[in-house]
Amino acid sequence: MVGAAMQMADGLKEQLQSLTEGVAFLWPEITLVVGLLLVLLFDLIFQNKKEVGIAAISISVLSFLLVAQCLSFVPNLEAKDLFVGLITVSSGANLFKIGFTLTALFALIMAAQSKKYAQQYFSSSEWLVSLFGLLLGAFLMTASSNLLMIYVSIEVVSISSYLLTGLGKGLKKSEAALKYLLYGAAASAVMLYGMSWLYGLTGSLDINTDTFIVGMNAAQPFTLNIAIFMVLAGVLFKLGAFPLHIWSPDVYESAPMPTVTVFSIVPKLAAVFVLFRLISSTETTDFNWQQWLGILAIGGMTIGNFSALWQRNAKRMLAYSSIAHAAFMLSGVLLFNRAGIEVTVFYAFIYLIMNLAAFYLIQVFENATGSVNFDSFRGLGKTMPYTAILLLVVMISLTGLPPVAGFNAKLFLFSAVYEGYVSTGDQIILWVFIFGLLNTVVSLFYYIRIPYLLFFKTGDQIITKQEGFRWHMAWGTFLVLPLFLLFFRSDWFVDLLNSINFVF
Amino acid sequence: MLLLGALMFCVGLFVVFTRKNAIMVLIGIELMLNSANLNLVTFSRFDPQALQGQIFSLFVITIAAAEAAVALAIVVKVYKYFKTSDLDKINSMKG
Repeated sequence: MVGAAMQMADGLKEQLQSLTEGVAFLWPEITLVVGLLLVLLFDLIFQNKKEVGIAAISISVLSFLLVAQCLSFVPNLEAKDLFVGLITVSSGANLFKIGFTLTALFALIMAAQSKKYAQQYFSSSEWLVSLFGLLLGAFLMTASSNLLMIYVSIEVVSISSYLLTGLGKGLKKSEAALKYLLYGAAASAVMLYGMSWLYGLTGSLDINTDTFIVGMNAAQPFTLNIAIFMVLAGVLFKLGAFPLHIWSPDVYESAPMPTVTVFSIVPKLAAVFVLFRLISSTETTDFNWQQWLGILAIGGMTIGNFSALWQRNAKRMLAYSSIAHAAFMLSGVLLFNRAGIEVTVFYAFIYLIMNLAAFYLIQVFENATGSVNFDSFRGLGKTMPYTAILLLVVMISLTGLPPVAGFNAKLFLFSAVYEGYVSTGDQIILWVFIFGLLNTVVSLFYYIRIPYLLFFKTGDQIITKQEGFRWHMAWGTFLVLPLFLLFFRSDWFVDLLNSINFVF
Repeated sequence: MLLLGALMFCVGLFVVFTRKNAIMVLIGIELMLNSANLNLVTFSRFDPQALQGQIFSLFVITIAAAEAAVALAIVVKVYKYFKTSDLDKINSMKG
């Protein structure tokens, strides 16, 4: 009796020790929480003139995080289970976290430069607290290896996103927030129900354990298919992929530019990572991932690109373009081999840089004209030539033409897809390949429309003075340069990806 | 219990798809969440090691409360602008 109690105490001690060891690996998340609390406290303590302080705190916390993450990044880290399997730390996840921090930092810079919204963002802590919350959720999404953790982190991201959409005055904002919330809550409820069935089928919530994988393999195919489909619904919603993409154009149109920048990158890439994990633990089951992801990818590319053709608003167009890009990433995910993961991650990071640049430059034009409708872009190429050329480069990159990195991303993706077809002979992969190529041609038409309006149309508004040097030119160049750099020396990034240990 | 859960889930999904009032849709979503809770608690009986399902359902209850708070705040805001909570009339954006 006493011996048993002693043994239990020892076990408890060991468990507590492993928990405290785990905390050390969570320092990025802890930094985020500290930053969130600091912003909140600063907002509560000081009464007026809070803008500078709040901006300084948030930007310095994120810069610190970015630098510290880059310095401590180790490409071939062993994947490590923490907190009794709730969280798995891996190099791939760390790479994604660096990308998220970069995006958030840039969104803050955009917010500070925005004419319309700078006041709103920094005059109180609401926006920043939601942003930090979203970032925290995304960090946990990339790390979670347990159904409970996946659900909780997805919900943290979702609730922060609803708040970010709804903050501020405006009829459109509240409408978009309501639509986003209803779709999102329904999708996550469906996902939760699917998760409860996965738990019932396997008796384990930890998707990396043997119990889970054995249980999945032994499960009845029909139930299993429905359960995985339901779980997929929540992930696809965060990815903004077909057929759960309906919310994104409205949200993108109504939310302010910096918020949209974060939405179009952070939750999407986090969802890609969750998808990797889900697939790696259910690969051997009866669920035909390639078939279904192939159909979703084809549908997403087609719907995204063709809907983008009719848009008259730059943000709405970029929303549809991001749906199409999500589908391209899915077509890399569905290969599910080492090459597939690498090209998807490569594509994801090029997409991150391209989208940052595109939204940043469009915000520069928004600051100049006060609108993002296509008509307001007319003739601006003559008054703001340098910015217009930068935007042209970004649009070429989004289409996937040389000499910018978007071309490499698409080239690597399509060659990996084609190799996947040759090695497996799976028809659906061939169809994904064909549709991908056709859709790239379609996307040229809408991406090139903004530069066309900028350079070849004359505008109604006459802005006579030529632009001199502005800070936004420096930032724009800073964002566009990596696109050229990664086109000519894409092997740098590919080498880095090769050395990374992608264990999920 | 599982049948009850499935029934609740179907009713919730049906409510979400058919009702036009934002509040009714939210109620439908709550029904779906609670059906998942029921499932989790039921399956937790067969869990050999720990009561993971019950813990999970506690988390779900908490998150559902947070979500409902945000949802109602947004509905109030929408009501301020549109003077209705009918989802068919809240469509200023299309395309």
